[in-house]
Amino acid sequence: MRLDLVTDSIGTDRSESGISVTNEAPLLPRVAQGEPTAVAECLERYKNLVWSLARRRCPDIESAEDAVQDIFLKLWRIADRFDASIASETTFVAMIARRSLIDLSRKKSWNSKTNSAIELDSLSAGEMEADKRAELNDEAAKAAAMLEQLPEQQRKVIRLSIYDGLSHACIAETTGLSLGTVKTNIRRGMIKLRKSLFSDDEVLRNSSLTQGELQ
Amino acid sequence: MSSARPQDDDRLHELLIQKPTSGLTEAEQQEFERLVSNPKYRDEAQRFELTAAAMSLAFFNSQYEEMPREIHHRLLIAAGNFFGHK
Repeated sequence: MRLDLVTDSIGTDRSESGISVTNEAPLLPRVAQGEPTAVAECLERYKNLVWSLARRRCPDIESAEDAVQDIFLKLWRIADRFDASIASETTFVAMIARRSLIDLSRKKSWNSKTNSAIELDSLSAGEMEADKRAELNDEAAKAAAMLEQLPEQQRKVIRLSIYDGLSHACIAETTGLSLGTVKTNIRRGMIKLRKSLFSDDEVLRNSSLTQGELQ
Repeated sequence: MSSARPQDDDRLHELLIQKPTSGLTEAEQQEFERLVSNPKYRDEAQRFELTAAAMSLAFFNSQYEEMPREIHHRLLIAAGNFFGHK
């Protein structure tokens, strides 16, 4: 199959600012059928997202290039597992990419960014520009709204973990918080957002660990 | 519940949250596999992974780095090879 021949037929799906548009019809069910146009469209739609995730986790361009190839191969293999009733396709793609990058990071023993690489002053981030939020998919928009409601310290710690890929120990070193406080902040934030984004909280209700954290 | 002891459930939830944030060591992954035998916990593991993914998208705020054209081109070739052999 010559995918390079079908790319020209794909209209750009990016806005003038180069920002990928979300909330479009899912492509993965068509990818699972091996439809050439869908495969090329899928690459076009998610290439910048996957590349950006890889660039934040990988120590250099070469590693990021290997990582994105690995991620897309995984995505094509499990395309039939995407279920639009559970999450949006963009969130699913980000999940597969993150899972792969975390595994790779562990296997290659990549170190987290050092303290100096993290601009603590810029960590009020998580405060999204309202005009950009409209372009996020449903879960990401909800997550952005929820993140803004979290206490600043909690949001900062979650950002360092989720976005910057720092280990809990490195976050403790960077922020001056104790390791226990870092873990508690991440746990509470994750549980709040998990509960908000995905309705089935039966499992969480059954856990003594989360008692008092869901109210 | 998949595990008989409450402390196992607490440990499982610790691992459920650690998995999509900082990841698990090989030993932790084995422990996780042992604790997560109940299918509903498998679903829960995915929900936490999706939550982390949604947070990640929120932090990016739709501002992604452009993938270099040559890498995109190589991916197209890789896709052609992959689906050509299916």
